Amino acid sequence: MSSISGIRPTKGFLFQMKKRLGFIERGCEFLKLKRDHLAKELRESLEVMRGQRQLLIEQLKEAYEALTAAYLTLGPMEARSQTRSVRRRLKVDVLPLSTMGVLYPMMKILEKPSIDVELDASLAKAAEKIMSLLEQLIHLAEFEARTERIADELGKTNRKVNALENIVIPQFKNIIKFIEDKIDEESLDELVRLKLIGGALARRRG
Amino acid sequence: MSTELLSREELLEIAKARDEADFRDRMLATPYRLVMEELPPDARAIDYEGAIYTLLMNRVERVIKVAPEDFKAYLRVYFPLKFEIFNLKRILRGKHAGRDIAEIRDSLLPLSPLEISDYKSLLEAEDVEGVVEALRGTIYTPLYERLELYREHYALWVLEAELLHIFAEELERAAESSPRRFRDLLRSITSIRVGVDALLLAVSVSTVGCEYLDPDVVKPILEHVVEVPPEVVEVIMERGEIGEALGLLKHPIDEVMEPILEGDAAAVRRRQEERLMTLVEEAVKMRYFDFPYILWFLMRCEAEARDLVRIAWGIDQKLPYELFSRHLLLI
Repeated sequence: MSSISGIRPTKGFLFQMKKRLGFIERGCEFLKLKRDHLAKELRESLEVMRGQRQLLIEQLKEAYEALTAAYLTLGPMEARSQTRSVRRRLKVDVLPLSTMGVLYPMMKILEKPSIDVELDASLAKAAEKIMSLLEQLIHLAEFEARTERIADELGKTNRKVNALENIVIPQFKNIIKFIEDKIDEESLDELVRLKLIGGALARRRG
Repeated sequence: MSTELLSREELLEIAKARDEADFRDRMLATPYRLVMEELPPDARAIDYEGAIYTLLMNRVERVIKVAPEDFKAYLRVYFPLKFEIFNLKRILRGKHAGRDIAEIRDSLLPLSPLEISDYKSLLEAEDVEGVVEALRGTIYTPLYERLELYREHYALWVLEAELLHIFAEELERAAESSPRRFRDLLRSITSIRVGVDALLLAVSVSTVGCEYLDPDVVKPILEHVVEVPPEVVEVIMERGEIGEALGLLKHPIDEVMEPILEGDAAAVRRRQEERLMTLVEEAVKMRYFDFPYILWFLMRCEAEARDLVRIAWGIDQKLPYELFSRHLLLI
């Protein structure tokens, strides 16, 4: 068994291996807990995200329809001149947050766009719709990033659990069995040797 | 003159172009070929807009040049001055937002200066204050009086409102100097043009939540518009009660503004254009080959240019015909 080369079939080594196996099994249990928790978070997140996305898509559709109407009313040059006159832009700060070791972004709005120019009323309507969606869009983006990272982490955790359960733990168990068998074999040999020696000594005395 | 105009059927043909290349080919078969030929094959809607407006400006200049002296004052204000004011707004917006000179220059309508000496000095001004300073000594001098408000609140719309006020005053002055028999028509045109623009301005700044809202900036614009009582502006800007405001308006402005109750400003603009065309067409029926006809011809040229730009943009954005055709005035 190439996988068990370098193994010392001694009681001390057996004890070490059993200790390590116990540690790995406990770690595997924790990873399973993490996996289950991440799976639950992911399921809930996907449901919420689906709902939020659908709602936002409907609202975005209305906003784009208003923007299309504005461009058709004003012509692209005038529409562009007006839209590019908005001075104060959206400013966002991105901060890291963590859940179960999964890092994801949290966005904080520092400054919202402010319109202090004359937008044609058709464009003003589009602007109003888009501004009302800004916060929702940002939260959805946050949520999507979080969901993606959770899914990613779930995949990694699952692979670790599978690797531990299907490869590492069985390997350790095999090693432990080999060592135990080896120790038993040597014990038996020792016993047979002792019996033979005892028999020989008894015959000499007698 | 009217042979230069595209018929409804020709416009419909152009509107049904399959793509930009097809649009270009169809436009090349019209009087617009003179300006279309200069465009590259991969021209976009914004390039077509420049070309279409170049032809429009040529037509406007040509017609005003040969128009009888009595009519020139009003035509000059209603067309070239209006376009010059569009350009001034684009320059002010560009300076306000810190845009570079080339970008602002590229956004201007292709128009010779009318009341200003040149666009270069305005484009090279450092900021909005510089532009307003450069306009002193022209009809745009009153902008200087609004500069303090602009500085205090950083509200560019205050200067844009003043430009509309200047336009309204010039229209009134031009109507006064026109033959008496046309004054009622010209005042009606002014009411619909200026009245609706001022109301939409009030609605727009209230809608987007401008930090500084002052009805006293908008009210002077409506000085000569009897169909719009000044308190309407207060109702819109201070209380946001559009329904109540519409109830105070007189005919025909109330009808034109009605779609704003549903938030449909595009429909208001369309009704405004339709009402103006109808007004002038009725006047033409009564006095053919007179001032109303010249006015009708130039309005028709402008409407045609706007519709062609809408078609170009609709095709550029791959919008279905049914979507952008709703915004066309002449089809």
